[in-house]
Amino acid sequence: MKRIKHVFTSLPGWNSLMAVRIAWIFLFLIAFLALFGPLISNEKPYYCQLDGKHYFPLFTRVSESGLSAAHPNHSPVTWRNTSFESIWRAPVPFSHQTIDLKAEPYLSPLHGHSGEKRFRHWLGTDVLGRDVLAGMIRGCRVSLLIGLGSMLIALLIGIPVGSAAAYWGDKSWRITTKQFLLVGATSVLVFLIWFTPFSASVKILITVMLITGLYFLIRKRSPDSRLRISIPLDQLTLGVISIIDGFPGIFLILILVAIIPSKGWMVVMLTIALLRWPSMARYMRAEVYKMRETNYIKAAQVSNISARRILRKHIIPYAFRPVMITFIFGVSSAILTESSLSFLGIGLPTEEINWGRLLAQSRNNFDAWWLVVFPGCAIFFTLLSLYTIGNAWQKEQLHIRAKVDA
Amino acid sequence: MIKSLLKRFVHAFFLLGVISVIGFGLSKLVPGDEILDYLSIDDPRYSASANALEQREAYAAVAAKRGLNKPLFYFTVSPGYFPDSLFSIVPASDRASVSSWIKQSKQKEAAMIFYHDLRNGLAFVCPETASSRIADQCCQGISEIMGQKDLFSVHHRFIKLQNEIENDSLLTNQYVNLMAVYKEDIEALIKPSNGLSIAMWFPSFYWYGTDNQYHQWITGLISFEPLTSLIDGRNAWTKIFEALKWTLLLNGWAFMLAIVLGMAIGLWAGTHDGERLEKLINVFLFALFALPSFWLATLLIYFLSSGEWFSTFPSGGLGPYHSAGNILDRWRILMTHLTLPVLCLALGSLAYVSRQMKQSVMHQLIQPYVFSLRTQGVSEKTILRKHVFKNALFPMITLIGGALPALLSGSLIVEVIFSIPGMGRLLFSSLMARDWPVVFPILMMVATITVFAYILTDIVYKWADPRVKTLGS
Repeated sequence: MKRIKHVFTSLPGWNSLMAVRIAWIFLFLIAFLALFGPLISNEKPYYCQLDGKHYFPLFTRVSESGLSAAHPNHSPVTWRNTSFESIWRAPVPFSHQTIDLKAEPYLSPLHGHSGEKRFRHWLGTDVLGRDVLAGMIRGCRVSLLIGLGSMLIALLIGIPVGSAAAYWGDKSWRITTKQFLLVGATSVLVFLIWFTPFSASVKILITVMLITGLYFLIRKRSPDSRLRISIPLDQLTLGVISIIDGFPGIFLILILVAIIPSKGWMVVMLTIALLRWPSMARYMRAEVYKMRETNYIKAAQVSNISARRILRKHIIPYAFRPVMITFIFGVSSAILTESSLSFLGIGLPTEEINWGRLLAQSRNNFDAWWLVVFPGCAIFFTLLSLYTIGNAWQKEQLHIRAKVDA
Repeated sequence: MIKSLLKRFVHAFFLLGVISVIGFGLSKLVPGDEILDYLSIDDPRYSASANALEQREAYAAVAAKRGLNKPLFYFTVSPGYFPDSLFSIVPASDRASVSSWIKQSKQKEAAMIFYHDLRNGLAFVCPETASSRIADQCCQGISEIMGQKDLFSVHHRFIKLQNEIENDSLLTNQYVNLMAVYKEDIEALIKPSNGLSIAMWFPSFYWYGTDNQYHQWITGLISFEPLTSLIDGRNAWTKIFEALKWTLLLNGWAFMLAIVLGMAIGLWAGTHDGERLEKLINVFLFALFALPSFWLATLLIYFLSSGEWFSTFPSGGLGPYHSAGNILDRWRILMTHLTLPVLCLALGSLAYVSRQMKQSVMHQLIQPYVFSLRTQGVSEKTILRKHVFKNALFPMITLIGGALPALLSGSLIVEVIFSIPGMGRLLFSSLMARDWPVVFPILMMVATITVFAYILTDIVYKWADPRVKTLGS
C-alpha cells in the first residue's frame, strides 16, 4: 500500500494541484481501457455452458461457427440469441466491429431502446448500428498506441542525435586522413558492388564483409597522422532538422499517408514520428549544450572518463527530464494529429473505428448529438490531461532550476 | 550584417533546393502512371481498345508533350551493362520489361535491338489488323511479348505466336522474315553471354544536362508555368491562387483577432497575476488551448447552425457570394459565412498568444528598469504603456514569424469542415482525387514561405532589438 502511494506521489505534479491528480487518474483510466479493452467490450462471452459442456470463448479459439458444428441441435449458435445454460458476458457485450442488427443505426442513448437491458447501447449506436461505447473503448487503444508509439520512436531518434550533436559539436569528431580515406574507399566499393552483375545475396554478403572489415581497421586509433579532418556533426544535424521543419507538418503527413500504399496504424505512427523527432532532438541539443559547459562535466572530462560514459551516466539522465515535458506535449499533439487524420478519413483502414472516426460520422447526421459529444469529450479531456500534467511538470522544473540557481 | 544576411539567404536557397528534390521525389513516388492520367485530358479519344501501336503512339505523344520522356534528374548512375537511353522508352511497362531483360541477359545492345525490332514489327503489322487475321494475331502477340518480364516467357510467347501463324494461308514472306528476325534476336538474348567486359563491372555515370524532368519541374514552378489539374483540366495555378485568396482572408482575420485579443488579455493578465478573475480566465484559456479545432467546429455547427438549437449562422460554404450584386451585400454574406471558421481558428491561437504575452509581461515587470521608473514616480499606466508593453512585444515577433507558414497551412481541417474553398480544402480534395499536379505546388509553396519566414523573423528581430548580435547561428 505504501509502495503504491509512493508510485503516485512520485508522479510529476501529483502534489501540486488537484487538477493534476485528476488528469493522472483520467490518463490511467484511458490506459486501463486501452490495455484491457478486449476484456471489457467484446461480443464473445468469457464463459458459457452448452449441453453440459464448458467453453471459454474469449480466451480460446471457440467461435460461433465452431459451436454450431459441435451442437447441431442448437445451430446456428449466436452469442446473443442462443439460450446457453449459463453464460458470463463481458461488461459491454459488443465488439467495436459488431453490427447490432436489432438496434437501428443512429440510435440515441436516451430513447428508442427496447429489449434486454443487458444489450442496451448506453452511448447509442453509429451509422451502421455499431455500439458507440465499444468504439470509444477501441479508440483509447488506437489513440494511446499512436500517441505513445510515435513519440517513443521520436524519442529514440531524437535523444541520441540531439545529444551527440550538442556534445561533440562540429569539431570533436576528428578522424585521421587514413581513416577518412578508408571510409571513402569502402563507400565507393560498396557503391560499386551494387551495380555489378552479381545476384542480390552475394552483393549483401560482400557489403557486410566490407563494413566489418572497415570497422576492424578503423577501431585501432592511429595517432600518427597530423592532418585531421573533423566531421561537422552539429551542422549536419541542424541541416536535416531544418529540412524536415521546412515542410508544412499536416500537409506532409497527409501526402505521405496518401502516397504510402499500405494502410494501418504503423504507417501513421511512423509518419508522425518522422515529423516529430526534430523537435525532440532540438530540445535535447539545447539541454546538453547547456550542460556541457558545467563544471562537473568538465571535471569528468578531465578525469578521463570516456565521452560515451559521460553522456550515458552524467548527461542524458539529467537532460532527460526537461525533454520529457516536450515528450508529453508531443504525445498530445500526436493524438491530436491522429484523430484529425481519422476525422478526415485518411490513414487508418476504413473498418477501424476510433474517436476521430466516430466524430466524423456526426457530420452526416446532425441529430446524432452523442456522436459529437462523447468522442469529442474523450479527445478533449485526454489532451487537457496531458497539457495539465506537462504544464505542472514544467512549473516544477522551473522551480527546481530557480532553487539551483539561487 | 549584410554578410551574415547573405549567408542566411544562401543557406535558405540551398535548403529549398534540397526540399525541392525531396518534393520532386515524392511526386514521382505517387501510385499510378502520370502519363496515363494526362492521357485522359490531352487525348480524350484514347481508349484501351485501340491496338497496341496506336496506344503506344498516343502515349508517346503525351509523354513528349508533357516532357515526361526525359531523364528524371541531371544524372544517373546505373550498372555498366545498362544503356543510357532507357528513359526514352515511354510506356513504363515496356521500360520495365526491357530493363528486366537486360538484368537477366546482361546484354544491352541485344535487348535494345530486340525492342526496336518489336516496335518496327508493331508499326508494320498493326495498321493492317482490320483487314487480315494474321496481322491481328501478330499485333497482339508482339505487344504481349513486350509485356513479358521474364526472358523465357518471352521465348515461350514467341513460339506460340509462330505456331499460330504458321499454317495461315495469308502467311507472306514479310511475316516469315519478321519471325526469323525475332528468332535471331531472342536467341542472341538468351544465349549465355561469353564473359562480361571490364566496362560492365563499373557503374556508368551519365550526365544529361538541364534537359531533364526535375529541371523542367522546378523551373516551371518558379516561373508559374501552367500546370494541368487532372480533375478538370484547368490550370493548377489558377486554382491555387483562387484558393489562396480565401485562405489568406480567413487566416488573416483569425490571426489579427488572436494577436490583438491575445495581447490585450496577456497584458491584463500579466499585471493582475494571481487575482481570482485572472485565475478563472487562465483556466478557461488553458481549456481552450486543449480544444481540438475540429471538435470546436463540429460543436459550433451543431449548436449554432444545424437548426437543432439555433440556426443563426450558415453551416458552410460561401453562400451566394459570387452572385451577390453590390459590395455591401457581398461583405454581409462573407461576414456571416466566415464568422464561425474565424472563431474556430482564433480561439485556439488566442490561448497561446495570451499565454506568451502574459509570461513576457511578467518577465518585464521584474526587470530593474521598472523598479527605477517607479522610484522616479512615473505613473503605473505610463510604465505599462510606454515601457513594459514595448519590451514585452519582442517575443511576439518570433511568435508571429513562426505563425506565418500557418497562414497558408493552418486551417486545413476548419476549411474542410466549413467547406471554405481555401488552400487546405483544395489540398485535401486534390489529395483524395489523386490530383498530384495541384498537391505538389502547394507543398512547395508553403515550404518556401516557411524557409523565408525564418529569415524574415530574424531580420525583424534584429531591427527591433539591435542588441541581438548573431544573425547567422
